[in-house]
Amino acid sequence: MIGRNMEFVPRFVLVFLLAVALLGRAIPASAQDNPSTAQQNTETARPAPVSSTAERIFEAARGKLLQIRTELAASGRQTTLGSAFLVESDLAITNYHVVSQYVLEPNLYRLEYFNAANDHGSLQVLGFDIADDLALVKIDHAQPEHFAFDPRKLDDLIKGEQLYAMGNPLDIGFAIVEGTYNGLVERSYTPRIHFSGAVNPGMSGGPAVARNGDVVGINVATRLDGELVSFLVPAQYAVALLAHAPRDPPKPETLRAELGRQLAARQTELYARLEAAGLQAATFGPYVAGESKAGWFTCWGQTNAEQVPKPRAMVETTNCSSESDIFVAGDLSVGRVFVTHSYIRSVDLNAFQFATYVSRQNGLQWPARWHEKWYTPPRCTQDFIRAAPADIGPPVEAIWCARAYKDFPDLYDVALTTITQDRNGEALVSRLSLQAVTYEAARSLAKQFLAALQWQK
Amino acid sequence: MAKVIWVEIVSRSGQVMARHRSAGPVLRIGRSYHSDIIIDDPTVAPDHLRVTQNDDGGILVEATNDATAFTIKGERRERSLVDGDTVLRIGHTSLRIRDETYAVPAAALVVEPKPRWIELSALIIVALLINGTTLWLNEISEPRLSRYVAGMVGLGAAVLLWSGLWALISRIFAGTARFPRHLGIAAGTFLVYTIYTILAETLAFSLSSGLIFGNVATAFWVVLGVACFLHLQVIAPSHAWVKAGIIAVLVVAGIAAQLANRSEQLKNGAQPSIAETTFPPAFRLARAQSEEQFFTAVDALREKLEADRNASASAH
Repeated sequence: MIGRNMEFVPRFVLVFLLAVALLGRAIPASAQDNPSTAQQNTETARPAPVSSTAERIFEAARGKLLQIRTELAASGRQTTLGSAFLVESDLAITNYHVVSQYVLEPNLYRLEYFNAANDHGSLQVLGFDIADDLALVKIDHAQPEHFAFDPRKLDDLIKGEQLYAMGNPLDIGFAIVEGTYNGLVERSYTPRIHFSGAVNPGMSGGPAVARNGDVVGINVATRLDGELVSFLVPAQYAVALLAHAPRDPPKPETLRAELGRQLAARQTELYARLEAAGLQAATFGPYVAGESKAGWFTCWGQTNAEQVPKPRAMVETTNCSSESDIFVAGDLSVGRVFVTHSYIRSVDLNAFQFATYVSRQNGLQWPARWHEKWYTPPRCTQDFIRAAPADIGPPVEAIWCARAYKDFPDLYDVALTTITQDRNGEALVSRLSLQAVTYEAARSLAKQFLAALQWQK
Repeated sequence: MAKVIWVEIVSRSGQVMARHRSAGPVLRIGRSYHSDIIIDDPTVAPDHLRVTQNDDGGILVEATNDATAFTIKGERRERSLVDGDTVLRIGHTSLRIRDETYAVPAAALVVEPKPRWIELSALIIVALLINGTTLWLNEISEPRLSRYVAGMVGLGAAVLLWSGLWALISRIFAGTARFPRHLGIAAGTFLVYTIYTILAETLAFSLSSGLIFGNVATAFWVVLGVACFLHLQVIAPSHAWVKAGIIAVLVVAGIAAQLANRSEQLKNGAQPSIAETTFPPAFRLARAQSEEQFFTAVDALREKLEADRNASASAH
């Protein structure tokens, strides 16, 4: 898919797409000015010979691949591009994010498909699975061939097995990419296959197949801070979507409500699992605070000890964030959880100066920038509280800030900040940030978070 | 022998704009150059008034013709005896006619107070010391003398500039600058505002009350208004209620504009104010609330968020 929604994992992808877009504009211009340079570039860029397996697979798959274009309904101009693959004569699987603009604004956009023979037609969204970034679409003309899903379970696939990802990268024509299956991504809430191969923008929604041509996964994202680190949605979720989605297209205006329903269900499950996982104690000087035991968190530490000039208070910060965000729209991904603890210790600050230093650390940081389109204005309440008996935990200044999602009833972004208030030269500033959470779940998790804040025995 | 007559052109507020002396038996007032007193007002006739003295020494004012009548207290006249306090109006010009017998009050005593330089210096030093101490208590980076010096000098320069501007206005409109008094007002109100800010922030922390903290911005406008009122009173002590009323309106307008601006910022996603200034734990006077009390406030916040969401849906 090309455009705002090109690839999921927006932090990495958008930067990459920008670079690709700039490069894409520069090459044709230079080729026109200097034919010899263009020839040289073409020869330099000639792809390495692919294996005979890849040739065979692509030849068999060519007629089952589709490119999906989201176009402005009024002018017909394309806004985003992606790929899809036929799973029945008139049904195709793609990514939700490929068709998200249409799902969110069906009056502004329309969908069109093109096959390898450049035949095209309209398509309709039958259903989608926002949690797994999949969509099932129905095309207006039946096609003679379609893909089959690999019946093997993921456990039966072997690390190192060759997979072949297909799609229409950068709108330059259908292509096949040879890569390697590397198991499921660790510390990801949503199961994703780690595919070591070049999944480029525009290939989103295309199939990744095994040697026998059966679909193992669906291209969904790539990391721009690595090389050839790409991700596939396991095929089993596409099988489930195909089994459960209606065959009659729902009214386009009902798609947004369905999106809200799925999002609420997914987030409710996420936070229920987070609460059930519980917290494990982490020690920060004289304090003990909670970090999630859930396996989909990644934690990093940092300190200001090496700053020059030497800081007058030492700060050791632990940032934990969950790999649980999902794509909703080009400017909205939700589902991340952040847990941050900053242990601050005075070096030579007096009590007033230290209090000022701590106050500079409690600035609220939302997981995502506020956008009038999605959020109500944030609201905050704060108080000086004692969540635990005096012999167990310190008194804290607690700040609760929240903003509601305009389009998704019952979902909020919530940020809880606590600052210990018991010592003149030491403090722990902790934050719990929850994206797209129900208020009840946020309350429960906040209570869990407060209860974990204790003094070290 | 005719007495000397003085014709005074006065403003609407009674201030004398020009004064003309005449000793002749007849005095002609108008716009023409054969008048004894020429009035540069296009609404005044070339030959507008004639002033004479009757046998009793009274001053008689007469219009030269029907079209050049004058008014006294809004009443049209063509002929009238006037005394030294009568204000006549011709066209857009107000006149007052007095003869040499008009009694003036005795000389007023000079009441200009002697500048209290010692008290003034003490006030400025206290203000600077408090600000310097505040700077020091908030110093979290490497201490640098230049930061304190620059802060103090900047503050002192701002107070001097503010006082100087008022002294200049005072010099223009009241004839005397009264710089020490303007400086005292500037330093005093600044000190009051500084102390209020410190107390408000300390109390907000001690009592865990955000309300006091939130009123600091309002206090700025109130203190500014009080300072302006005192400066104006130094320039001219008259019309105190009128000045107070105008300043009150401006202060309310300033507060309203600031609140409206803040409201718009909040609607556009700005972070709501939270009490960022913290103090050492010993400054806590309020008892720590229970977790239940905190979550009661959290639940109340949800209702506001729901209202925001509903309002957004209605607007959409």
